[in-house]
Amino acid sequence: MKLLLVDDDDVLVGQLASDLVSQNYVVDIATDGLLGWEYATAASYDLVVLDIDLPGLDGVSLCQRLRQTGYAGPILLLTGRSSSTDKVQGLNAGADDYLVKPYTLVELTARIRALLRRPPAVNDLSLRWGSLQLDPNAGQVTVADRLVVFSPKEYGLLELFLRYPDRIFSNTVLLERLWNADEAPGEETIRTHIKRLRRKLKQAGVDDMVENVYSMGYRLRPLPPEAADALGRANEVTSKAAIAPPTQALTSGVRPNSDALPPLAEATAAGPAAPDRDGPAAREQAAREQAAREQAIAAFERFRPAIDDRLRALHQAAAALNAGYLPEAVQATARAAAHKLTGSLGLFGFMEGSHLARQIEDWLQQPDLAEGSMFAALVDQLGLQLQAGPKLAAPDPAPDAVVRASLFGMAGASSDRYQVLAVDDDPAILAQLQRLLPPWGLDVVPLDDPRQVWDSLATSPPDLVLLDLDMPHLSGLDLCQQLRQGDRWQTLPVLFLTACRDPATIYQLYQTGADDYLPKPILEPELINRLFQRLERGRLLQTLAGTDPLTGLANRQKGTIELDLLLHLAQRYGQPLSLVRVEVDQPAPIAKALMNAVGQALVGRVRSGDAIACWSKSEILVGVLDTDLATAQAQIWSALESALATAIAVQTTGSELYLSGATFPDDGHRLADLYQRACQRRVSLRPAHPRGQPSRS
Amino acid sequence: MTIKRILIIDDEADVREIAKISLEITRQWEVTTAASGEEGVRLASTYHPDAILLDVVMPKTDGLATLKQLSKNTDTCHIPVILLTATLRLATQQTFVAAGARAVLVKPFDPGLLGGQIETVLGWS
Repeated sequence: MKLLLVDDDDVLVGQLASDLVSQNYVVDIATDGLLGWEYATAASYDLVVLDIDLPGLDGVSLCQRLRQTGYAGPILLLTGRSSSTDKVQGLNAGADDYLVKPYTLVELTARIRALLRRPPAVNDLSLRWGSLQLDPNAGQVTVADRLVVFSPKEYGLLELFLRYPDRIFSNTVLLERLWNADEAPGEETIRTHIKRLRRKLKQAGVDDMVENVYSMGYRLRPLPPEAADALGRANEVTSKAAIAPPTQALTSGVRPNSDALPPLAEATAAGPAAPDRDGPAAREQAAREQAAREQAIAAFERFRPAIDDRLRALHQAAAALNAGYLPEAVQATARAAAHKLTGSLGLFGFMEGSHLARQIEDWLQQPDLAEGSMFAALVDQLGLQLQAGPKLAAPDPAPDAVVRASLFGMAGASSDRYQVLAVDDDPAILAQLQRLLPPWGLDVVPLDDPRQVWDSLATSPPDLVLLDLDMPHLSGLDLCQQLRQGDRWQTLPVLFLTACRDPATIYQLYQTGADDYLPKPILEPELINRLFQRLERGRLLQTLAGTDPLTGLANRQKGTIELDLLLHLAQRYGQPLSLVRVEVDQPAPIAKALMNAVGQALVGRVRSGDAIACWSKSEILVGVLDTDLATAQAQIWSALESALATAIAVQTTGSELYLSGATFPDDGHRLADLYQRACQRRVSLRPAHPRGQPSRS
Repeated sequence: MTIKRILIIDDEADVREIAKISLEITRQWEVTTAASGEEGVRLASTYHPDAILLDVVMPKTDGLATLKQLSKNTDTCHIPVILLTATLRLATQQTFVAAGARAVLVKPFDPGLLGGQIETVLGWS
């Protein structure tokens, strides 16, 4: 999805754009109304965000102009004024929604997502491929005028292929496009959906519509020439929001793209060459493009030694981090290596490798690298990608080999053990899991009654859940559905253990939100292999989605963005900002449970405009806008008090929680300064005396 | 189709090589490469390319310094420069454009599509 942000507040827009880019949106920025107009006429956008007060051309006029010239995509207005006249004026001008400043990133991105989910308001041209016709308004597909029914995901895939007929979609891109960041399906899910889509198409009389592109992904197969002629030009307009043919989509060059496809792919596809894209010249060009990709992959081995050197630099940094000290020189070398890998791996077809390298580079730019285990996991993941080689479509190595590689990676990555919640009414299965998993670093919490799952999740949050399908009182399917209904457990990997081979049931498993299933009887290599695949992917997805796996709060990376934005708002509107730090000082197992309890206690008490983030394995930070430090701390204290009296107190007799804070502008103007000041003011909260005065340690 | 002459300046051999392969195969353009900013500035004034792809992060003379030297030289100041960067940071990209780059391309690029992207941003298509 491609968005245009028109706002003259550089800092705010920069932060918003970084956040959106991290959520896989493609973002263009214009800092005045006229420039915004130029952008909108030069390229196609799925959504436009407009500030009302803009230099050059004000937001309401720009909105009017966009609507008059036929822009049909959603428009979100940002306004510093809360008077209803302004809102009405904006909505009358054609805006779909408005947001009054100051707002939080979370609120804005939620509105953006909601707008993007709305169905298009205008009559879209139907998309055709031979006798197949997809009507986006009706959400219907017909083949030779006969209705064909597809599942939502199959329909989504089909629409994507038809809208972008020249693009190759990798598994990663399809996951990003068609699944929410909160969901965590595997690539196997994509293969299953593609297979099912093909089968339905074939049954409807449309054969070979979607083709595999070796080592790259899937795309719409070009129609044979005679069919293409008959189809005419009906599909030339591929974007509903286009208001003019793109003339120079990169006018100012500001076009970050986190999509796994390279920047400007759409511009090339929709450019002036489009009218003869099915002709012989276009086919020859497509063949040349494919040849260039193949040549690039063929050249990989020549550059492998240099790439291996860069990977080694990352492993050194990971080892140093695990040992507790990362020398500056090692960090700098690793950062440079990650930067180079980001730029080069995708050239050889490792798009996911480039993405991982970018994450690693971002990680290394943090001022205080506390999350060493996560960093090492990213590096190991990258190593595994490279080990597999550039021919991504090659068959998977034998399960045993993968198991060893994964375990080696995980052992080197982290001293932490993973926790698996196993729910099965068959004691023999639970006993088998308790025997098989611990030697691999996987601790099992066995449960023979599914009704106890919620208590177990609350007291001991797992890294993965294994569910039996048929259980008394509550079936695995119902349990999985309940887990996926709330936000808290959206990204928790859920695997089913089942003896059932019925395709309809397996389909239902995926529909309710399962990530994978394992056939009974359990085979050790397959079990371990699949569990590690899910655990690594689950952690990675949570990192990418900005969620801390333990507490479900924003992780440090996302928290930094949100707290920085709050700080910016505070500066802009001359309001105080209080940063409150809660620290848990406990040995690892207790700290884990305590952090989870503190997170749960605080998350519902934080106002919608404020920010809360898990800063490290033992720290949570809360940013409270327009509130002095004493009040903010009192609020946090009161939220913690009840938790201290119950869950926390039970687990932490004689233990310590620390509460401290700092305020903008009195204690500093940067997040780092405020954090440092807060650390210096550690105040102990003794659970044994929750109503007493906090005492200085 | 006019055969274009492209100069690629990048200290990383793999990026130079793949960009060269890409442009030669997909567009049949003539491509020359330089492994440093200094070599790039020298080549630009003798080779007279139609466009320059310039890496930002290079040892000694980095992309921005190279860009400055190219724009000071009357032989090369008219040549459009596209900066290649792996950074997604908007503020950084805006700095590059403000410094005189015609466009910024984010690495990694798709070897199949690089030529088309250059044509699009330079209005050659």
